[in-house]
Amino acid sequence: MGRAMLIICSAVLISMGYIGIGSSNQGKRLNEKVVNYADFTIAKNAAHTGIQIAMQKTNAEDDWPNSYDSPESAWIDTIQGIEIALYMDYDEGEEYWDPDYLRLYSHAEHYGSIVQVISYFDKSPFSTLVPPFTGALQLPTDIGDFNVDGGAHEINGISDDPECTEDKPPITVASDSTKQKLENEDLQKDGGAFEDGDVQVDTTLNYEPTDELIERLLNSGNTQTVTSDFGSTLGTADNPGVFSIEGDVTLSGQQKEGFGILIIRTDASMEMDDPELSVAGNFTFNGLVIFENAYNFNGHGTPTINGSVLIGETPDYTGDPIDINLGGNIEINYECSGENYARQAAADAVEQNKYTRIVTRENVRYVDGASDDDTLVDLIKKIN
Amino acid sequence: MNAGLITSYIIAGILLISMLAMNIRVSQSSAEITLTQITREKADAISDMIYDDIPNMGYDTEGKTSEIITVADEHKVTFYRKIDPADTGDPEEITWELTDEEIPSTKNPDDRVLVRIVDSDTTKITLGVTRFEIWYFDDFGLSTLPEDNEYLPRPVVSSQLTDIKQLYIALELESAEQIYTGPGGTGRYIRTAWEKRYSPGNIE
Repeated sequence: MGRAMLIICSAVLISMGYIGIGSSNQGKRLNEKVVNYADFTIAKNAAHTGIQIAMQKTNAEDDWPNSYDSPESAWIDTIQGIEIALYMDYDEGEEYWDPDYLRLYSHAEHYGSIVQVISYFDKSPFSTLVPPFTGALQLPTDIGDFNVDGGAHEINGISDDPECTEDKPPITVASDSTKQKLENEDLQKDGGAFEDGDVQVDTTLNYEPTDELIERLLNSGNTQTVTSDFGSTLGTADNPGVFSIEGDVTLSGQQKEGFGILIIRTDASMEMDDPELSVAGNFTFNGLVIFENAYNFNGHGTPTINGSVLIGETPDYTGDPIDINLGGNIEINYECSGENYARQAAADAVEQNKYTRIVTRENVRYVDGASDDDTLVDLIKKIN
Repeated sequence: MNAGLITSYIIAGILLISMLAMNIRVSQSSAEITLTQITREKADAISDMIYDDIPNMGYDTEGKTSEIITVADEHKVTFYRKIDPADTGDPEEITWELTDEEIPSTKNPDDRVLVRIVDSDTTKITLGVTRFEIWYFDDFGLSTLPEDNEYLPRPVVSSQLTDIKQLYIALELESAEQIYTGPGGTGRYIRTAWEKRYSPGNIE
């Protein structure tokens, strides 16, 4: 009986082992399918992440894409344990405002084939920080007194620049009460006194976007703060700047022109030093001049501003309303070129570009003639 | 005869019969798993093709295609995409549709021919598709369950085609042959399902 039981037990064990091996193989095949799908998803995500990192590197260094412009010179990195290879076509616009185009090819290996993601981007300066100019003089918040001294000043909404596609009103205000204060005074424009419609109420006008702009510019580290006499350049046409006037500042450097954004902040004032000014003739600023919480705007002297002047108060300002005195030969002209100088100055200061993804695609590319010794770059070369 | 010997024969008999029964069941189960595996492989082959098409809808070399989705129905979707990124010609018009045409080579009465049409070239997919259904969503963050009726009414009218931001695709396949649970038992077809919600990058 002992021998019979031994035979029976042996038969049972062999049968159980046979069944176990069969079940194990089935389970293994099912697991492989799941793992394969997970690996594919990880490879695809790594390729997408590679594009995001490449965009950050391009944002930090404009010339970065030119170093990785072919499969042979692809940028290699490891993301979540997956090796990726990325190269780019970089089409740079000729002029500052011409967009650049970037086509990024990102690759990750997936079981001998390649997960390829292609994305096509428009790269432009981050210029939307500057609120669009609505007029030559913009008053987004209510003002205190408004006085005009003499008739030598000019506020013009009609641009002399043929590149400008539209004109603006000479003055835009946010409320009817401010409009009434202005209309009681003898305001002048090129060709004579103001007419009906030259002061327009724009209820969408508010100071908040300008407040945000100033905060971004001051935090950028690229705004030049001026607290006393200033003799340096105030920006050039090719390289407009951002200047924050915080104190009683006299322009003493025979500056004839300035470009970009000029911010005159709380209790600050700016005067052109008369002897220097007489040498320079007229001082012209091309861009945006912002008077923030400045308790008094004195438009005396002979400055010309081509672009726009914006006077406003921040929400937390508790001082007296801003009084505006216009006199002398001040000239404020709306110019779209001034708007562009302001946008360029802001974009350069914050050192950010705006990327718009135009189109994208993702594919699995099967590689003909792939071998186990092929590197990722070798595989990429074979699919091109 | 020795009582012990008789008892051991009885035990051996019971064990052998049990093993035999279990082996039959495991064989049936194995056959079912194999059939399931084959059906899944077929579903994978179709889903790979769908994956290549749907996320890339609207892709053209220098920008999006002028039109992207032109037909969005319950069992049919038509859209434009450039298949070969190196090709400078016009983007291709792609159609996926579950037709009413039966597959003559199988015994399954429920499977239908799924077609993928590229411009005028039709590829018939006869892998046992019994369901191919698409839901269209116009926004993010909605329920992922089509049963919640938060999808666009189908067919999506032309004025709403550009509102489509996501597509939810359900695919079901059944085996060509039935599997039987025992002698004289009723057979059944092995079913596999695949569902995925896509947010194509070019229609976001």
